Amino acid sequence: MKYSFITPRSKRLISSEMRLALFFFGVNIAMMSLAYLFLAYKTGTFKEKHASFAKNREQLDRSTHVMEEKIRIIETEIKKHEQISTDNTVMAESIRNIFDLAPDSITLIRAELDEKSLILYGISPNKDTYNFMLEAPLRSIFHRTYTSFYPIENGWYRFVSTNYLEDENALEVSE
Amino acid sequence: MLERLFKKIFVAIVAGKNGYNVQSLVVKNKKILFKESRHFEGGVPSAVMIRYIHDVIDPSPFFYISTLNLHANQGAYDGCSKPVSHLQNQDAVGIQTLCRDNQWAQYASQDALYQLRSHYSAVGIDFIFSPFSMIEVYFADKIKNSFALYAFGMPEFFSVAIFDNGKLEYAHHYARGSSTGVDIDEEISTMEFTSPLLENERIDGAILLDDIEGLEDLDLLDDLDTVGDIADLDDLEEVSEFSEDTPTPEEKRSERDRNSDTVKSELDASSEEYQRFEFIQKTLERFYTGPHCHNRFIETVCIADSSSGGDELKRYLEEELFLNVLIRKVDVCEGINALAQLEEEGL
Repeated sequence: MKYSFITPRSKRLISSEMRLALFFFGVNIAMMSLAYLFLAYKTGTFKEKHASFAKNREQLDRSTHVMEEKIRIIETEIKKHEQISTDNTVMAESIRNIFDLAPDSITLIRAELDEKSLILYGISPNKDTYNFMLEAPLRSIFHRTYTSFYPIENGWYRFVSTNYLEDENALEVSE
Repeated sequence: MLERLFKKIFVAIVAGKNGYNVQSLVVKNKKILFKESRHFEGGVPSAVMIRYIHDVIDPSPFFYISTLNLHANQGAYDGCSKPVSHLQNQDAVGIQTLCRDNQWAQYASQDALYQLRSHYSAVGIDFIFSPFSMIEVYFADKIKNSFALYAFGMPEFFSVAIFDNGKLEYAHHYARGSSTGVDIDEEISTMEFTSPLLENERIDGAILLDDIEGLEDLDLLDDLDTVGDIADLDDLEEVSEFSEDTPTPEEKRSERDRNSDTVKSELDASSEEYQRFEFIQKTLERFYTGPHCHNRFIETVCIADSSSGGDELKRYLEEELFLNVLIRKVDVCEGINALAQLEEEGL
């Protein structure tokens, strides 16, 4: 102090009323800032979640596609299985029919069944029995039939009957 | 930095016998925007005055309310040391000092400062100034480069200081009567910094005021100019000054004393001015008899006067003490506000 015996009171730039008003303004601004930060944080996390969900969705789409592909394969295989099963059933039925074709006097030793061919090995008391009782039904089924006879010691004949189906008539064989 | 954006308001309060003089000054960037002086009646700050001051200071947070210390227990002394050696029968503990330019110091009673603060507690006080600071402001153009006696007077007190080229040589604060709220004994001189002498105390070899008055006899020397030729001295009877009818210096002194009594009686009519004359006379006497005189003589007296009049005091000082007298009419409130502005600039 140069001239005065006392120091002046401290001067405040803002009055108490103004300080109160500024305090409330400050509180408001702080609350708005906090709300803004909170919303910004939430928006950020939401975007992150959205991106994560989108990624998951893509993955799920991919896995769905894979699953659909697998389902398609399985369905194809099921169809194939059903086809095979049907074929086997038909085959079994055909075999059964073949064995039903053979009369009691003829003994079948071996049968080789192929898709379009049937080879029968057996023993017949005589050629006529074979020709009338077995070859006739075979000829009605197969397009081409060849038979070879081999006499055995007891006077019977061992035969080998080879039967072929043409392609166009393959379905008829199965029936 | 922000202060530049605000107006600064200075309020000066001066207590008087009839109430309070208040001056408000609004300043922005050293430019005076508004100035108003008011007078409020009452012995204590009235509700009207307090409300007025609050209304004045309301527009800006930077306001400074100042007042003048009118209390008797104050003064000034040479040097900035503690005033223990300068005080007579006073406890230096309760004294607050203010060093000026590392050359001289003002002091005031802490009790008086506390009383002032309490007195103006309703409005609050930022600055309390000493009358000697007022002398500094009023005679700033002269104090630094001359040797003279400077005085500042109000109805409640009369402060006298002798400066030699800015250096304080002697100071004395004379309080008169009682001011508002503060009791001041008549002519309390216990706080003077020089070794005070009793009124009638004389020291051998000291130059006293009365002796100076004897220099009036030198008027005779002027009359020697009328002696045209040394030959004329032969006819001594023709020289009137040496005739029997011519009064001797002793007769002249007695006649002057009679005239002095006449002047004093005239001044009695205006006792305030006479009292001031006496204060100046006493101050000169103390200075001349004190250790600071060093055979120097004061030729000029500068008085800052807040009251009207002063012509008689000037005439009497000129005629009786052969002093060159300069009286400046001053507005105390304006001086206080000027000091407050200086003080605020230094903050």
